[in-house]
Amino acid sequence: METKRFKNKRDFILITILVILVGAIYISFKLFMFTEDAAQAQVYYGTSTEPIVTIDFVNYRVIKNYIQNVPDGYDQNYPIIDEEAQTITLLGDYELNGIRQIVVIKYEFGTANSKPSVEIIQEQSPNNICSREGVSTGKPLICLPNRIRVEFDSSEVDFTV
Amino acid sequence: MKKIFFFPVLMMFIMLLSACTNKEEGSIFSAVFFQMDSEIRINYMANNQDQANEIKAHIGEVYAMYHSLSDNYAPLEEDSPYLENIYTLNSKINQDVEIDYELYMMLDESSRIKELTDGYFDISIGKIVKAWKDVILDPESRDDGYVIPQSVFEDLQDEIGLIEVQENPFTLSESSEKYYVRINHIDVQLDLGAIAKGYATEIVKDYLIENDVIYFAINAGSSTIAVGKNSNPERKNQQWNVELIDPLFDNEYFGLIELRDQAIATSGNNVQYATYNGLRYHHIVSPLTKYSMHYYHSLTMIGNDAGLLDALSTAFFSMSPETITSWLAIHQEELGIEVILYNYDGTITTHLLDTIFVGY
Repeated sequence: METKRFKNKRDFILITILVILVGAIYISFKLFMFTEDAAQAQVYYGTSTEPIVTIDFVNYRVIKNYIQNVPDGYDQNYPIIDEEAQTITLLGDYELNGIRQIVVIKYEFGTANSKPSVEIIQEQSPNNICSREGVSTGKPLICLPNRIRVEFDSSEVDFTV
Repeated sequence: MKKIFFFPVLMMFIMLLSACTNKEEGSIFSAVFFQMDSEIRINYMANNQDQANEIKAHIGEVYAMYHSLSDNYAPLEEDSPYLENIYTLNSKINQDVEIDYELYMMLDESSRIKELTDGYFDISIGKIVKAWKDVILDPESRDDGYVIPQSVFEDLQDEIGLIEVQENPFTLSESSEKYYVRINHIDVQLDLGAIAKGYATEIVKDYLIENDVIYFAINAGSSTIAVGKNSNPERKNQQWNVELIDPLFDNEYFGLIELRDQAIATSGNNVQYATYNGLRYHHIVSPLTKYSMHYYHSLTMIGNDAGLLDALSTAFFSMSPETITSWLAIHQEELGIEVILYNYDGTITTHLLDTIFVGY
């Protein structure tokens, strides 16, 4: 009788934990799906469909998903994440005098008065189209021929044209 | 007692798992290509990795081929399997040049659309477009606020004044299964920039449909998009939600449309432009006037054929609102074409059939 009650108690704890867990997942899912501002922005390089860097606007952090594969002769490891200056630096594909040039992305976490945003603040390319785009709060920024893009995750919109 | 607890626990696990599994068979794969000065991104459903790889490889070949054939900046690679591309063709005036069937068909389609639009779509004005681009994209003047100096504008006027738009710029011919094109005048320079990407996208779309891929989206550089159905259960009508960029205000959007089994193409004056006398001059040049026109800031076309839409979005940019209205009166129903015009004065005009457009 004593053991049985003990087991029931353990079951009860287990179920409580599960209920809380499911509830927490459900609430965070809802929050993520229906937040008005973008919850994340993803930085992609080359033809990879895996983001190299994830900017998490909800939890105020920047996650390096993998190291950029660069040829010999480039000493630095990319991406470089500077949390103080709020920049992400990658090595683009565009070459000047045979040297590949960096692309610097500036990110801002949103505040009560401003939306989360990203901006390409430095890049080399024939027409500088992606740095001329300025600050974006939703539109993808595509840097060619550097082959770097920054894209917002939005639950309501699949494309912008 | 234990069994009473077992049931809800099991139920919760089933609920948890069912949230993760897709109701459709297969999974979504994605592929990225860099062709035609664009990033082309495709999401598609396939049954397994092998099928996904096969689809990706084929699509990559299609875009690579049309990129090579339509390239007007560089000749074909030495080991290229193709006969000619636009760059090499443009230097062969008044001679019959054998070309690949695929290029022949694209030129033929361009001629068809020229006729369909009463000359508003014209791939032969490459010389005029290049003269404009040289001024607008002058590396010394990259700021969007760039105002074209009067002397530069006048020189440009002189330059394009000397170039004649030809009524019959090129002739296509076929003999014993070989295909030829003949450029008929020195002022003709072919430029497929306003159709090639949409044309290739349409071929990719057809390939996906032929291979029973129902769920897909092709985003060819954000100016041309072709979609099937959306497998995301959040989308009640299996639609893809497309937000339309406001060409006048950064980070603003002026509306949302729902797309399913359709294509969309946009043209705008907000990407590459310079100002003269307070008006925006951009890379879309009217073949009728040799100047960029100032009727719209952007226009969005919805329909079935991505290639046709790509070309029409350029042609319509030079048409007055009245011309568009009378053109649509004849062709809209038959071609299933819908248009959203962002007028130069900031107002919006829609010519829609079934598409849901929510203006902001």
